[in-house]
Amino acid sequence: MIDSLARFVRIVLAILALFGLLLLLMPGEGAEADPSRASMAAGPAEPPIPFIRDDVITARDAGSRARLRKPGAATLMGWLAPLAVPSPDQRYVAYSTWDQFQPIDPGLSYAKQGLERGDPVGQPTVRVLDRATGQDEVLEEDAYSVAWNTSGEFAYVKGIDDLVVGHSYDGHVLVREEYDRSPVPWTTAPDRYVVVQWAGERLIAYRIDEGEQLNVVVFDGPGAIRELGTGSSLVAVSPDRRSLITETIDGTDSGRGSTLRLIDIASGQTLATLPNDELVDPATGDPIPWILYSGSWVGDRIVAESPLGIVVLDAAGPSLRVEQVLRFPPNAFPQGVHEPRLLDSGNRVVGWGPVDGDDASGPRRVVYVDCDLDARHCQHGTADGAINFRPLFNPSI
Amino acid sequence: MKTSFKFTRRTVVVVITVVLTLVIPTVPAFATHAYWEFVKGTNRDSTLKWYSRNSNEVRTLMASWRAGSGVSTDPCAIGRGWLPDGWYDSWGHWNQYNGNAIDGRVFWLQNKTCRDGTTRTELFIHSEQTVMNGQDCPTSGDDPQCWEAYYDYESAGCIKVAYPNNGFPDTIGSVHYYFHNLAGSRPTNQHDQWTMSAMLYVD
Repeated sequence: MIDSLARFVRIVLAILALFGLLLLLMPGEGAEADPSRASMAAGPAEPPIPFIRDDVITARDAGSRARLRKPGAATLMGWLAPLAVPSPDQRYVAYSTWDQFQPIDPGLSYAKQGLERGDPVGQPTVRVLDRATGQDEVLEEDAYSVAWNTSGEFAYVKGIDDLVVGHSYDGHVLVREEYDRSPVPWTTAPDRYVVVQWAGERLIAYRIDEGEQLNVVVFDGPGAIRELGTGSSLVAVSPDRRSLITETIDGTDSGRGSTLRLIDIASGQTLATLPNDELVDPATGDPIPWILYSGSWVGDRIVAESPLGIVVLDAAGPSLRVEQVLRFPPNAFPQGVHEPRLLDSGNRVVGWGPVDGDDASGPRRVVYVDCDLDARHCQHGTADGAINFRPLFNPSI
Repeated sequence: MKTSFKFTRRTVVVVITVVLTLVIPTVPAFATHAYWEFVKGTNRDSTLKWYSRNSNEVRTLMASWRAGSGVSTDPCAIGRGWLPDGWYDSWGHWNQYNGNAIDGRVFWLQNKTCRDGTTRTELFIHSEQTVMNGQDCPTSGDDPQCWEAYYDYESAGCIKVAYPNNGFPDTIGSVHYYFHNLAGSRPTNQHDQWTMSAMLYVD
């Protein structure tokens, strides 16, 4: 028995020694980190630029904070366009809201909740906050997605009706010379539009077809609409407002992915193309499956969302190339970082992203992320369950 | 005693009926309605299932097909994400839909709101085909009315199923057949806008 016990002890000691040896061989804290990934640290609770957090404008700069009469809501546009747009003089903030006419359980079908064809579901509204006085008024009901030009022109979509069960939400694109003047329709027939931004005197928007196919369109004036990208989304508009980058997902012999096109807005001519087989992370050679809309352009640098992280593009030339991909730690942002905004002459990018995956329940938890592209270091805020947490910015100015 | 067997007309009918009953799937007795379930896997490789359900809410799987949705797994990404979870009504069905972006046999789904309040709209179950349910493949690239490869399972948000081209199965044909012929007690012979409650469950 003693022999058996001794043998047992020797076996246990051998196993422990082997385990210890494995621990010594494993990489420790001092081991070299993945150079393609940004380092992350918790930052201040408030974002570095003003954000809407439901019914509050929050920012580190106390002077930028404000309370809204209603929560901002991007029900009919997501982040295809900004949720809240400051005026050129920064005094006013135009933002989209939503009135739900009755509680709707998103898990159930409409019919199972007693909603029949023709029943109204809700109504979008554009409101304007005057930061100087605190007044917050309705500008237009059945309206959403605002573009506010340097010259004062104010564009938005006006629906022909409330959002109704069994119907598409069609509307007209309206433009006011100033936000408090009477609107003029720039469309001749209603359709599913989302207004994005001004490019000089031209207005960039989406027209959405069945299947939620996105089409980038440009209005040269009232009734003068051209398509710049069928089945395409808008990545960014150049700082001089003369060109833009579209993204189209299409298939080739080598597979399927995004093709980027640099397009002259006035002529519609393609100035440069970055095909999907050249859309790769230069550090790792990994293909970038797709690029998402609502990026940002400063100087020759563009940032945009991708499933790998934030893609940084260079448009000098004119040409298009991938400069770098700023990857995040695994599972930090399972749904991506949206609406990346370039700051500080293009060396800093701020965005936002859910920290939950698609399989999570309850309200989304969203944080801001603030990254130094040269240092490849990011800070993030604290998730607090806001339904809408979106940056204030005006891409038209 | 001499016996003989006569192939009477009645005999033939009985034999044929027995054979067909064994071969062709039927909706279980007392089924109340059938519906689809879209089970998320990846954007290109998910599963669309067809269930019947009886009055005791017991469901029976009748068919299962490969399907896809979106290019992103964020259901709040308009034009890119897969569908939000939950039950959907069907708002209509057409055999020769002539749209700007989709054509042929299509099933229109209700709008659906995702967790941040964004409402997904213009959603369908469809394939890549012409208005007359054929194929138009003018280029070597990705043509919208042509089923070329596995990447065609991706979409702007809709549920995509295969068309029998380039070695792919006739999933759109099968989905269409089951919808019209094996929907239980609910009538599905219309081709127009009409509401069928809780026709799709996405999870």
